[in-house]
Formats: sequence, C-alpha cells, structure tokens
Amino acid sequence: MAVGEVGRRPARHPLLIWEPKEGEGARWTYGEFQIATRRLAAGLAARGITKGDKVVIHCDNSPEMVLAWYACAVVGAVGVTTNTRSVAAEMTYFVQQTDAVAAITQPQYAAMVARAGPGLRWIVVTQDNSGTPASAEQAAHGFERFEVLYGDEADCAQRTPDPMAPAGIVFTSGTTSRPKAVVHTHANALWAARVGPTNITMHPGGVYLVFLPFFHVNAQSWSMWSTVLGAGGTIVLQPKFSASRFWGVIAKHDVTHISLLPIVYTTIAGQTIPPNKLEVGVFGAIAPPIEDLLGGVKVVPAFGMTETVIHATTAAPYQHIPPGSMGTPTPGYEMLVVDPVTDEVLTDGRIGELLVRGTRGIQLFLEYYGSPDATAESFTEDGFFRTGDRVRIGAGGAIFYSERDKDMLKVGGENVSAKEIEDLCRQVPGVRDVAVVGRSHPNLDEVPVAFVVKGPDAAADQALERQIIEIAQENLADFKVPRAVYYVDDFPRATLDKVAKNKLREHANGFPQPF
Amino acid sequence: MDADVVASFQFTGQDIPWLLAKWADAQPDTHC
Repeated sequence: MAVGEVGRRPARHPLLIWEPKEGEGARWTYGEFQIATRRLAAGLAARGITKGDKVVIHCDNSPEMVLAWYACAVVGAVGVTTNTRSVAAEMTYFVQQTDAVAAITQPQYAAMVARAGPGLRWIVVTQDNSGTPASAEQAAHGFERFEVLYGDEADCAQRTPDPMAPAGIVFTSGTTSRPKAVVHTHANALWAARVGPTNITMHPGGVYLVFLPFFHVNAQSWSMWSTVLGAGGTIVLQPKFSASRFWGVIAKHDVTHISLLPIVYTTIAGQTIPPNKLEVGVFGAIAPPIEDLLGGVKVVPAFGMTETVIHATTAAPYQHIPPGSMGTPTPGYEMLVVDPVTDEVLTDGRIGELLVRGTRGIQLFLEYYGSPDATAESFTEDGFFRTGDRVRIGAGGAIFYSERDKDMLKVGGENVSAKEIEDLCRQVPGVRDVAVVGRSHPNLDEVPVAFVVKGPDAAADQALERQIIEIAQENLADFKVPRAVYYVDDFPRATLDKVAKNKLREHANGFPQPF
Repeated sequence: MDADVVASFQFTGQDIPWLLAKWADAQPDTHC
C-alpha cells in the first residue's frame, strides 16, 4: 500500500492520541500524522521556512506542538521547544541564542513571545491552550491562527535525507550561568529509535503515556522516539500530569509504558488500581521500590541526559541488576568513572564523575548551539562527555548513582543551575555573596534556597529577601525562584576555599519548611 | 573518527520523515 493511501484505511493503528483535561480528544493514525505534518511542512515552506531555520515552539503539551515539531523535521528546519514556565527575559535569550526566525505558540503565551522576540518574522497561535479555551484577552492576540499553516500536501517538497542535520533544540541547565541549547540531529532520533525500544521493551502494540513536558528529552526521545520511530507504537499525550486521572487514562487507552517521577507515586498512593495493561515504568537514575504501589508494574531504572539523547544506562525488565543501581551502559555508549579533579580512572568502586563517549550527532548531542566554548568544555580531549554526575561502579559493572554536581538542582523534573540564580542574586545591592542549594521537597525532589552574606549597604533582612525574590521572579521561571533566603556571616568552606554546598544543604534541610 | 563517515555508514538515506514514512507504510492494522 502506498504511503498516501494509508490515511484512508478503515481501521488503523494510532500514532498519537490526544487526551485533554476536558472535552473531546483526538487521534492520528500513522498515515494521518504523516499527511498532517506534510501539510504543515508545506505551510512552513510557504512562509519562508527553509532547511536549517530555527522555529520556536512555545507550547504546553498539545497535538499542535507535536505536529509542528515533526513538520519542521520534514522541511529540514529545527524545532526549538522551550520551557513554558519561562519568563520574557528567558524567552528573549532562547530566541536570540538560537537565531530563531519564527514562533508557534498558544494564546496564553502569545503576548509574552511577541514581547520577547520582536525580530521574529512571524508568530502563529493555536486556537486554545492545550484544549482549554483562551480568555477573551488572550484570544485578542492579533496573530494568525495555527491552522493557516496547513497547506497542500502536494506542495510539500521532497528533501534528500541528511541524517547529521539538526532536527531539534532543547534547552538544558547545567553548571553554567545560562541554559545551553542542546542540538539533536535526525541521526540522534534514529539512534534513539534503535536502542530505546530494547531499553524499555517497547513493542508495536505498546502505548506510552506522555504527561511530562514535550519540551524535554524524556517526552521527545525516551517516550516518543522509542515508541513511534522505534516500535510503531502509540503515544497518549496529556496536557500535564493528573493524579486524579492517572489510572483512568491508563485503563482507557491500554497504556503499557509510563515515565516515573517522585510526584507520580507520591500523589497516586492509596488510589484504587483498575484492571490495566501497564507493563513498564521508566525511572530516571535510581528506581525506588514502588512496584507494589503501581500494581506490580516493572520499574526500570535508566540514566540519561538531554546530551545523551536516550537512556545511556538501563536495565531492561528481564535483566537482573543489584537493587538501587541504574543498570549498565547501553550498547553504543562507552563509560568511565574518573576523579573529578585529577581525571584518574576509578575502577575500584570509588565515587567519581561519569564520563560518556559516543559519536556526536548519533549517540551524543551534536553541540550546544551558539556556544562553541561550552561545547568544547563539556568534552575531554579524547571525546568523553562530562556528565557532572557522581557515580560508582558496583559488582558486575552495575552503575550506582551517587549525587549530581553540587551546582545542579533537580526541581520537579527540571534541571536548574545554581550559578544562574546566584549570578542574578548578586545584582541585588547589599548582597556580598550568595550560594544557592537544593532543599529537599516531598514532591518536587528539591527546591532552591539561597544563603546570603550581606554587605555593609544591605537592606534589612526582610526587605533584602523581598528584593532577591522580586529580581528572581522577574528574570527566572518560577521553579528557579528561591523559596527562602537565609543569612549567614560566611559560607562553610571545602578544599581550595570552595563553598561547601553539601553542608549548606544540610543546614537548609534542618530549617523549618519554607513552603 | 569522523562523525560524518560514521553517519554515512549507519544512517545514509535516512532521517525522521523517511522513518515516519516507513512506519506509515508498514504499520499493520492488527493492533487497533
């Protein structure tokens, strides 16, 4: 059967099922999805988008977002998916850093995107906010609707496949001050499609429930590239995680695979589990013993970063690994554990930094767009990527996660750079020095708190705290805003006079909860 | 190792639209 005829099959296998919070859902078969993305590609081309152009896609989870991303790939353009909790200052940086030429967004974000990207050639706006109607004020954005991008499929030009060409950009925070633009190539997606299904035992009848944001690698690669490009399975897309609908959606769509975060199992605890077909839950790094809580589903640990594209370590459900480990290296990735100061290779179980090697643009990301220095600094001379994560090798080669880099926070699944927050806080008059650390949080893993050393011209404690919070709210996404400010005379110090952030974390966890 | 050489060996003639088209053509109806 020719590709063009697939969309007219009477009974077809769904690629994408949209499950909004309320109202009618929608579904696209593989044939329908291909036709839709080719029509959108024709529309993008008609609006001047050509190979290599960067198109910002600033949306909460929605079918338009997914279709637009794949339409960019058809054109050869690059979908830049950005965190929707970003404020205008961050959005301006995303637009400028990627040389973006156009944007696709939702009514709720249209005014902010327009303010942040005055040089964009065009902006189109979806009709609603991920299934929720726009307010009258939001609907009066004045931009063209997303639907105008639908062109004639016959006008979609054929393009010679270029596997090493960029396909997408995802921003990630590290230990640098500003988020970095991670470039994924088409070959990265093809690679994820090859190894992802094996890592999580995905199959053609598999159904992956995606409630994590599509602007992150977990949804784009771990979930969708593994399921759709790798196995011909189905994605069920929700606007966001819903504890109250969790089991209902899983049962309704015969979901077989999910991604797991602490907020999932802490908020569904105690719920009645209906008959379901859930097979696998994929947990980043260390998988806690939560299989009983999920009705006996197999919980698979996996380690990966935006830069490693897909799970770089894992333990498929049929493999036996020591409890508490994150599995063994995925074939195709070389790994070393080294002393983070001396680079001595550690093979005796000591904790060190995890280094990962693969071909850039295939197993590993291509580059940080517009940041050649950051790209160079993230690799060793012999091509190993520095993950910044501390691990140790245990019996049988299983890798045990120890801790993330001291300047990286994990807030509700979002990577947060302590340095980015600190650099901003130092702009407040009266802040002589500041150290941001993560304080434990029951649902979000951790939240940022700031330890501040006041200078002689500092305002009173409460006023200074207010100034710090205000500048953070103005310039940073809400999950990066410090939840509390603690004043100290000086910081505890480690070797080389570095701030001992582990001690500050202990202090922070000893204070009453500020949230 | 030149990444482009590796890529040309592993993925020549392939990209995301190519793979989607393959699935659209090959995905059987039996999993509905």
